Amino acid sequence: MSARVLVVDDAAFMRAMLREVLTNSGFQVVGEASNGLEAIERYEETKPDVVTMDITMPEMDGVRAVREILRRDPAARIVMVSAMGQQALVVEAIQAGARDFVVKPFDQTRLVEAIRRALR
Amino acid sequence: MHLAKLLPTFLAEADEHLQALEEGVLRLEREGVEADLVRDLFRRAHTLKGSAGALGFRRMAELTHRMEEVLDVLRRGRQDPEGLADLLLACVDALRTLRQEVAEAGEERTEVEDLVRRLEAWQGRPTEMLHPVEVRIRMREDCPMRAARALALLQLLRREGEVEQVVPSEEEIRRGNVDLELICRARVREPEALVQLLSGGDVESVRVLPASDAPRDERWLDLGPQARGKLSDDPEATRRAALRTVRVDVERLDRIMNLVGELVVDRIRFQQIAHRLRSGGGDPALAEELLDASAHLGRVARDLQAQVLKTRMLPIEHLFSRFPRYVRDLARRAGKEVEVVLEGQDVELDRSILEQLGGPLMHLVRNAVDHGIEPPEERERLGKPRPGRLRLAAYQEDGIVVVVEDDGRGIDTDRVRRRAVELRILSPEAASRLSEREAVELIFHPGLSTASAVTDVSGRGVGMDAVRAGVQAVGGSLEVETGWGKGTRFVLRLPLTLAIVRALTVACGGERYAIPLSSVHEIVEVPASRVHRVGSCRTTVLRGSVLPLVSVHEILELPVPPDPDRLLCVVVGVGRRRVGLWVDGVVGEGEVVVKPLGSSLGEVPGVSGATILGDGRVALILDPVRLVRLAVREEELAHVG
Repeated sequence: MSARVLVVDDAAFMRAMLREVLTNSGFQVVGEASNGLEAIERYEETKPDVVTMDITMPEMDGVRAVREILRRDPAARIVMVSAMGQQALVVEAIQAGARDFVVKPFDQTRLVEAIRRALR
Repeated sequence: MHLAKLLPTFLAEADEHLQALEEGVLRLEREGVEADLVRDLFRRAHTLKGSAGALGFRRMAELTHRMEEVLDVLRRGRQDPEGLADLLLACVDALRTLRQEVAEAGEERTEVEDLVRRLEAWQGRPTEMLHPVEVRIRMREDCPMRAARALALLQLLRREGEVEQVVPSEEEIRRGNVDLELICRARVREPEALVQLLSGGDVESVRVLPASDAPRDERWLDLGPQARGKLSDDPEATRRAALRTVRVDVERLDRIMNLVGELVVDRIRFQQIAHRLRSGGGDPALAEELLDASAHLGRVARDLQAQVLKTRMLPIEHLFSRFPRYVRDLARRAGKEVEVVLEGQDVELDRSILEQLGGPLMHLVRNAVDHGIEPPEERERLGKPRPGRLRLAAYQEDGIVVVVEDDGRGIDTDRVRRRAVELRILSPEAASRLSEREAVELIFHPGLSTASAVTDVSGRGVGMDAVRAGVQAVGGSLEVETGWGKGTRFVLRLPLTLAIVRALTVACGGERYAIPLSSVHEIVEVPASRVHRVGSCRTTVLRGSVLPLVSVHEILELPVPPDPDRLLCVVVGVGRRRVGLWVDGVVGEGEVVVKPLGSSLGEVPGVSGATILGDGRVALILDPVRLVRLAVREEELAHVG
């Protein structure tokens, strides 16, 4: 059975791209969210195997969302999707418990690798 | 009552429990699961949890709660504390950090989730084997966000077992101090799976070695939480000093000590008044009464002095108690087995001496573990018990004696000689003429002991001269005895206190000076005919060695009187260095109370303080360590010039 992924990003374009890349690589995208608060809701609803999480988003940023999701489900697997120059935030997210990260613009293999590692 | 008022009590109690927990865990590791011990650990974790919870320190409460659960599993009979000691010690460390944060900032900052998870994992885990490995990960040159990558890799590794150490440390990584390479010591479930798990993406290569085969990396040595600090850096001692004591600024005690000194002067004045009264035809009964009263004042002043001195004293336990843990960590890193024996923990030492002793002792202990004690296999081959024995003992003799002794390989004096010749410290002839004792003394030679290569050759080395200087700075001495193949013993002789020294009083140019006896070697008379002048410096030859001569006038930059026919010289020395201090006469010896020089005088080179002599006169106390340094430098300059 293919792994179920929740995609979180405030840019619709990015979500669409992630969806396509992931689907092509054999994952099943079970939901999308455009900010941290939505991400938490979707997470509760869909109980995905893995989440891709943008960092800068309105309402609630990705780092806070990571904390909140992990507080509710310590086993949650989250991969950060970060823009260049956000290392401090990525470090924070990893310390909060995010499993891995990719840096935008990313290539397909990197993303798939990161998700596979997170799923182990 | 507001709970915040209870904070100091909580902090002091936490200290005590944490120290007991640490000692208990070390015993657990050494002696195995023992019902009473586990019960005690359980009780302490439980007590801490209760108080932390009451004060709202959620993380401490959470962590102690998990520790309690784990201990409960042990209590109910699980007999395999494999890996648990490390985990519990890590918890104790984290609790200490949290305690510190609460004390300083009023809130908990350090995350404990990782530890909580590991404690959970330990409980739930069927008895499984963890394999010690060293993992070397190299990131690609073009890896973006190296720090974040390094941390992610570390987290990944954590899920496979327990990460014991990382170079660079996590703290450094977080601050962005990470190059391409990451080295981890870990204990993992499946070493075979690691390469595949960690490879790919930004990672260029992964090497996994069984920890025992991995080459020893010098950088590991710098990892110990204790080893990291500077020589005098001593948070542990400070922490423990807070225990069961009222905090008094040492300066305040110094001031009291000074005031006692004033009392002594007043007493002498009363005595003099009484004598004048008697000789001047006054009432003899009244004079007698005044003498009685002044004698009483003298006794009270002396008792007061003794009490203040006592207040400055702390049991050496404050220093010793950190060593079992320190040695354990060092030994692990070095692949050694070491048993620590502590003796005379209740022997008391002046607080300021104690504080300055930490660094030198740590160096000696570290040298013993790293270079003295052989690896267990080698010891077995040699017919020695597998674990090496490191003995730290304190006892009172004239002053205080502290012994650091190991039963390791000892110092190879032949190699020390060869090394001294290689480094051109000695000529081959001079080296071969040295007695065994003298050859051993070479380890304190600054040129030899800072040469890092010596560490491996002689088995001793890094900064032994600094260690000796550290001991001498507190008025002590450091001697070494060694037997090749048998072990090495360092003997530190320390004064009871820095506030009172035994001193030789000398006269010079109508003034009085006190020279601490601990550094006085002998008093000699040198005929003027045997005084040589090199530049502005005088030297003589004493039993075949050149002895620089300095007059007190020179040191204090006063005009120097013409040389008499015979120079009376007090030979003072520090280590192997000797200087003859040229004086007019020797007045006597006795105990003097050291008073710091007022700030208006500033730093006078070669003078460490002042004292009031029995006759009420003020005398400067000379500082032999500085004197020797001054004299030797001038002598060298003279040779160059």
